[in-house]
Amino acid sequence: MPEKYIELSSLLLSGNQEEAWKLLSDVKNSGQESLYIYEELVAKAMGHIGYLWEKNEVTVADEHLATSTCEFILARYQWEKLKEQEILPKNQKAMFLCLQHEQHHLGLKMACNLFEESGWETRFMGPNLPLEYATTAAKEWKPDVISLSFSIIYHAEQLREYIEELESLPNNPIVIVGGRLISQYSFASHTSERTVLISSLTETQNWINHYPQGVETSVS
Amino acid sequence: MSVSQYLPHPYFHVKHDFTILSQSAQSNDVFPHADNFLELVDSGSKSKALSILSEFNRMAACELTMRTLYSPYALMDVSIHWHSGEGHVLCIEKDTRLTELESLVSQHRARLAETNMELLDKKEALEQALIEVKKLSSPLIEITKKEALVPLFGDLDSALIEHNETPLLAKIFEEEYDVIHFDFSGVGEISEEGVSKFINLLQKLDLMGVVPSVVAIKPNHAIYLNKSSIKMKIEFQNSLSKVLKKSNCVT
Repeated sequence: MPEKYIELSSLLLSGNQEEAWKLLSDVKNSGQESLYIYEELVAKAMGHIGYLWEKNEVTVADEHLATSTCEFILARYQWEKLKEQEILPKNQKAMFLCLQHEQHHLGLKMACNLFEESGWETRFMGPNLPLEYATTAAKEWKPDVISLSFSIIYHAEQLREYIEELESLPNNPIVIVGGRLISQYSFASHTSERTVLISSLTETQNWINHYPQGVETSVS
Repeated sequence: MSVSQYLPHPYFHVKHDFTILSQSAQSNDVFPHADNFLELVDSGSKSKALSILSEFNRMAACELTMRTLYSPYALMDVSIHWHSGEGHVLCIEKDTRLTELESLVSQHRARLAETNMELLDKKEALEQALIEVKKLSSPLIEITKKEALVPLFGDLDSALIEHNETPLLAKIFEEEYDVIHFDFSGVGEISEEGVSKFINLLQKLDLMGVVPSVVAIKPNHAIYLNKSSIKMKIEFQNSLSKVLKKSNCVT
């Protein structure tokens, strides 16, 4: 019997939304947490599709179909999850965006969902967001955290500019940079001491778990 | 001069290790200068190029991400034909219309997400406005030092009572009223949960030693109020003017 993620990748490649959802929902109903579903099932399925491209078994057009199918089942998963699970709001806000020209947004979407399931208010600004739009949105909404993502090394050139501008906003947001490249290259020259670098969804969940639960005033 | 020079697509004639022997004029227009074809292949595509385009496959074709003069990662359909230890490589860029379509789809997605967000914002604002409306729908008006009037407006549902109960009880306690008249003239629909919360409020008033009075019940309201078992003293009046007359407010 093939691994579940391989099965999922072939359903995504065929654009079979219903069967792909059924597979995901079966794993969910077996009691698996979101982090497992995102990291071990969805991310691995998409990684496998990348491997198939390298083996010349699928094309970029197939990958696009798989991505949009995956996007659909992720949205449905999140909707069901939030409906079932009672979430205590934390009064903390996080905004998510991909650097300009960056189209790979599934990893960022899953990170966004993890924040949301932990009670954060979230805004997903999607792929390819120019800095000026990001700045305007962040000035208005005042998020505590702004999460940036990119997966193509050439897009890293803009990283420093994004970080400098967003970290200097009046409400001092924490800027998180995520993506698989974080563990493969050093981005020290692009980031500041405050910037948080995260290379996986497990690290994202750990970061959320250790983030202070808002500011409480205690008088003793 | 070889006719391959005039091919309408980038073409490379390479040695077994991909060293470039010659290339078409179109190659010069699309790619930067390179001595080896692999230098033009993006690092993420290099192992794919080596495995698929290898000499072991006499003829092969695959997609590769390549470095061109105008993009660091342009998607190309690359095909190769090995002959006598030398390779003939043709690179055809993926249809740019596809890229345009992708960008359109992406714009639509962004617009949908934006609309979604705007709707969410409006929904939150609307919910807040609804709470404000509910809070303003049961004001406490003093008739005399001992009596006060609470005209109810809108539908009598649980939200109407929930949003107003605490401030109403606090005010009634503070002002030491003996009788509170709830005027139903402005009430529209009634829900069972609303009635049950309302009766609950009346019971609390009863415990506080305040006599609740219900004014201007319409026939459709009466059915609901009748259903619930009210085991306490409540005054029922059929019109507000009678209440005011009784209180000597109207001459």
